[in-house]
Order: sequence, then C-alpha cells, then structure tokens
Amino acid sequence: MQRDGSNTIASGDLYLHHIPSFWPWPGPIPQPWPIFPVAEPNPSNGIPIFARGRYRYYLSVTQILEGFTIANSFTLGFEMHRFDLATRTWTNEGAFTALMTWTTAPPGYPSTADFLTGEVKNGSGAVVGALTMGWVSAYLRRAVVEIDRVSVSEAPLDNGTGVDWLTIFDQIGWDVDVLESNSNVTEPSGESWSDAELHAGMLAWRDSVNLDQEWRYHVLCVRRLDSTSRGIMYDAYGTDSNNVPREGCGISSHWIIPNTNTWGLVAGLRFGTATGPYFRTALHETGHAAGLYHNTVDLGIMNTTDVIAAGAVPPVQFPNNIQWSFAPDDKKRLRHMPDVWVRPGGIPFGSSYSTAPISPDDLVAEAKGIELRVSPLLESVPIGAPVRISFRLVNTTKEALPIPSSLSMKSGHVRGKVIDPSGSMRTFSPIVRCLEEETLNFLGPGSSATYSVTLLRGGQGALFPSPGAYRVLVDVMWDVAGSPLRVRGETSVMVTQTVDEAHAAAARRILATPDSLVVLVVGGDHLKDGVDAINAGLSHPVLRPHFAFVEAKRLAKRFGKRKADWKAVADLVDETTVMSQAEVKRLAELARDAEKEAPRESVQWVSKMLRRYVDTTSADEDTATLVRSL
Amino acid sequence: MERDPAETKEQLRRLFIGVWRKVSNTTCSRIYPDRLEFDARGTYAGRKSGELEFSFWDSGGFELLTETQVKISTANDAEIVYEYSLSKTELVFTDQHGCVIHYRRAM
Repeated sequence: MQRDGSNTIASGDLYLHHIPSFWPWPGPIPQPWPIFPVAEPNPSNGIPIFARGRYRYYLSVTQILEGFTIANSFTLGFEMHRFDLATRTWTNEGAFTALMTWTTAPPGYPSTADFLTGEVKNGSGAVVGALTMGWVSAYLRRAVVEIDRVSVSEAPLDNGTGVDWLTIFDQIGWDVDVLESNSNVTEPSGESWSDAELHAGMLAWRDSVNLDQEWRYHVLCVRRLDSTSRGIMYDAYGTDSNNVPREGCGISSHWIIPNTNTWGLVAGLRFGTATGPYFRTALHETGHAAGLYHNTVDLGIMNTTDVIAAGAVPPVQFPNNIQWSFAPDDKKRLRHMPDVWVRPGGIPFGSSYSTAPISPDDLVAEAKGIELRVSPLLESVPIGAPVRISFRLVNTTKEALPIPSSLSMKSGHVRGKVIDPSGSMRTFSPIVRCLEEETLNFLGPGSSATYSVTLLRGGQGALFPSPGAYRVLVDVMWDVAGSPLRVRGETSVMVTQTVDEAHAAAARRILATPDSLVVLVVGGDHLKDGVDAINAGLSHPVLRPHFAFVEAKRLAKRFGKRKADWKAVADLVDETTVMSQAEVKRLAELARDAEKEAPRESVQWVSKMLRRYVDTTSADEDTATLVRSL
Repeated sequence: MERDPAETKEQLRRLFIGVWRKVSNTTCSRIYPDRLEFDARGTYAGRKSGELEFSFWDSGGFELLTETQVKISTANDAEIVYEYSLSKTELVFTDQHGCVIHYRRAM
C-alpha cells in the first residue's frame, strides 16, 4: 500500500505458496479431510519472494481505509485478476469485499498491531474465502542490482552529486541492494559486445541466483556495444536465448559523446566519465528490465538520453536538466503493476501496458462551486499556428472560495490533454516551472478569474499535427489543506488545411522544431532553430498573424548586445495580430517599460493597436487599465 | 554535375521531418507505430492508436546514414538500420526481416 499525500493506492499479488508434497493423495481420500499446516514464509524476513510459476492473482484494490478509524475494522474492496501462466493473460474474476478486522499478529511479525483478517465475499455476498494481511516492511518490493564490469569500464553507482540507486528506488518504495561483483569480466571478441555476448556474459559472470527466490537485475558494463551507443536491455526478443526475459542490461563506457552543443557540459567526453548520464543510462536500462517502456511525459528516467539532451532549455545545459526520478506514471507501474510484469524472468518485454491490470488512483475531488469554462481564442486556426485557449474559473456559490493565486502555466496548476480527430491523446504541461510556495487567493461569490495558455507542443510532440477537429481538455488542480481538488473544462478547435505548399513547408518546420515552443514561451535569440521556425511562420501571410506577437515579444527585449527593436515590433503588430489577453497584457508591460531610446512613434503605434484590442474585446480590468495608461 | 552527398542527405533529412501516418495493415507491421513524428533535432516519437499499446519505435534518435538507409533507436534502445524510400508524401521502411512499413505524410 502506498499513500502519496491523500492519494492512496493499494494492490496485491497472490501466489500459491504451499503445495503438499504428498499430492495426489495415495489411496482412498480420508474423511474428514485432515488439516495440514501451511508453510508460510517467515514474516520476520521481510518481503517474501515466491516462485514465478506459482503466481496466481493480482488484486486491484478499489476500496480501502483512507484516513483513521476508531472502529476495529474496515471494508476492503478489490478485484481479483487471475493470471494464466501459459498465455500470460489476466482474467478479471470479479469484485470482492472483505471486512478486515484488526487482531494480534502471530509471532514473527514485525508489528504485532498491524495484522488483519477477514472473510472474503463475492458480489452476491457469499463467503468464498478468507484474507489475512500482516505488515512486514515499509517497502513495497525488494530487489538486487548486480553490477559486473570489464576492468576499464566504470561502475555506474551514482550521478556524481549525491543521487544513487538507493535514492532513486527509495522514491518508489523498493528495497534495493546494489552489489558490485566482478570487475574483471573478460571480453569475448574485442571491445564491442553483441547482444548475444552480453546475454552469455550475464549468465557466465552473474553470481549464482535463483530468480524464484530473488529479484536480481544484472548490469554489465563494457567498453562498446555492437547494437547501440549507450545502453541496451538486450534480454528481449530473439536474444533471450534461455527464455527468461529481462534479466539484465548492458551499458557502454567507451562510447564518445558527440562534440556538439546538444550534449552541453558532457560534449566530447567518454561516456563512462560523464558520471551523471552514465548512471542515468544504467537506471534507464534497469527500468526496461523492470518492464518499463520509454516515456516522454517528462525528462525522467524512462525518457531517452538524446531527447533529454535535445530538450535542455537554456541557460540550463545537459546533463543538468536530467530529472532524477521516474515519471509519476512509471512510479506507479513500479509500485503497483503485477509482480510478474516487473520482476526479472516474468512477462517478456514488448507486451502492452493495456494487457495488465493495475489498481486505480484515488479519485481527486472535484472543487464544488468552481466551474472552469474553457474556450479557444479562435474557433479555427490554420495548421502550424499555435492554439490559444482562454480559461475562466467561476465561483458559482455565495461564498468566497480558495483558488491558486496564479494560474499561469509556470505555476504548475494547469495541465491538459489534446485529443486529435483520430482519438489519439497528447498531453501538455509546463516546460518551465516556478517552484514557489503555493498560495491561495479567495475568489469572491459570483466572481471569475481569467487566464490563457498558448499551445503548440507537448510531451509527445506537436499537439495539433494535422488538420481536423480537436478536443482540448484543461485540468486545474490545487491543494486545500492537503486535499487535492480539481476542476476540468473542455473546448474544441478546428485546425484547417494548408492553403499552399509554402504554408505546408512553414507549418512542418514549426511543428517539427521543438525549440519553437521554447521561443514561444521564454524567447531568446540563441535558440536559432526555434527563431528560424518562427520566422518561417512569419513569412507566410496565413501564419504571420499567429506568430507576430511571439516575435514582437522577443524583439521588444534586449538580448546580449542586441538592443530592443521597437521599429521591428511596430512592423509586426497590426490589426490582424492574434493575441490572447495575457499576451496583450505582456506587450503592454513591455511598451510601458520601453527604454527612452525606443522610437516614440513605434511604441505609440503598438499602444494604439493594444487599445484597439481592449476596446473591441471584453478584456479584464487590469489589462484594460494598463493599456489605457500607455 | 554531381550533387554534394552531404547536401543530398540534408535535403532528405528535412524531408523526413514531420508527421507520418501508417498505411500498412500487415501482421508484421503491427508492432510499428500508427503515427510517427520526426523532428529537427534528430529525435522521433512513435505512437500507437491506443495510449497504452507497445510500439517497437516509441521514442529516441534517428540518423540518416545514406540516401537509402536510416538508423533508428528502438524500444529497448537497440539502434537498427532500416532501408527506406522517401518522397514528399510517402515514406516506406523495410526492416531486417523484410517487413515493409508504409507511411504517408500527415503534415
């Protein structure tokens, strides 16, 4: 069981852990059937490990005690998913409940008070069995990571700044022992290893292990790899010659990191000397061995090194943008996916997550009395243009209600999803997060607060990559007294076709250039690819109005030796410029703060355009006051 | 006059960039993503229609080696070389097992 704030998730794995050695019974069946002692694992030994072949059920817990009770029992609700070893599939055998009652633990349990028993009832209320639960460990799972290496390869033990295997696995509740074993592994055929050689090397050099008694992941550190640059989870597909999948992985210490800007502070280094990225690769490949796939939702461990390196937002350089944790959904998988999914020698790499059960999250409470009304600034935009979304929090009650003091994307309270015409979903969340203490403001009865967000790319790439009708779902989440609240709103937007080949080329350039989002959000002359992509948009009359503000914002500020260029800003901004209210306010602030050297007539032109905006739309009072003061 | 190979490769790389939708419907092509996006940084994202479905090409790097070969990093981080043919609207891969995976430009 795991509690994260007020989100409680629990799951269970049931193994057949006693088969009488004298079955089948020799001779006539005795009546009554004798009671035989069941060979229970010793609870004082902590988390028990059972044989893979005896795995039977996954329990997806749907109801559990959330807080405190003065009663001596609570109702546990769960679904039982039966695992078929032959087909590696699960069958949901239905919903069950058990009234779990606290009782004194038998001898050997670490906590005598944390022991419960209960009768299990099926959906019809019939008693079908009994369930016993006793606390054995603060950890959820336990494993061993064995590291073997050729003598000239480094052992990936930590990131060089205090984060090690225990740090990472403590985050997910795994009790991990890291064993540096052989440091003299011999190379079978030169410095570079094939996948088959890695597998054979693992079998030859790994300490004696029984995967039915221990979850042991093997990391083999070698100079170079035949089939990849940095690391590989080789124990999959045809390389899994012993049909025991996901036992280990290999990493390369002597790959030379390309000497390009993308690689930031480690450009040109030998990989084994780039301590952080090298360690990250070992974690990443071990994540694959634990059944995880690549995950681009953030810069966490299961994202790929090249995507993370390319995703560094200046002034931060790779590897300082590495996120030293698994993504939230991967954390949940490592904690709560069935044992056979994550343990070495279980289900082969390459099955879809959707084939396995996993316990649900707690429901986040909806913030009653607050509505989130979402609307696009424009109901249709041309392909390649960003989509500007306004969202308004409305207090529909007669009392003041707490909402976050800021709902900019940087505040971290806003995220969402975009669903394309084919039903595929992509997510968006802040690319820059301001880690300030969360403050709440009170929204008066009947009052509203309006914000906006400009969408172009998300964790999975372009959010609006092709023409058609899209749904945009926006979630605003915040905590009040430790309880998570959420409001959700939805809108739709139409993305229209390209009008000519030049439009198509410009749109492709913008949507396929990740830095175009960075320029859109934070600006910066140094993001040459992004600036060029934005200029490609500006060069086409259909896209120009949608990108004019982005370029104007960049040019209205000095950058390095370049002074603010208000003449260029004035050339960009006209009656057709598409701007959200937040963007109008931002440009007004820049105009207000324009240096004395800025050409007066240029600043006045921009102010005139902003006043036109305020006069013709329902801008909020702050924005209107600011613009009229220019 | 012969074209500079580097220039040709750069033109091909730019043509790779964008979003592609799979049109193949063969058994062998099922492990490949339904949607592929190659970006200007040399990275790609591949997705199946179902959010939690496994894709052999899910995320990582790609590198054009020649006018007919591209190296793509795969779900377990193996970097595999594929034959490809490319036009403005069609991108066809052939994997090491002879499976042909046909994509059409979505954008």
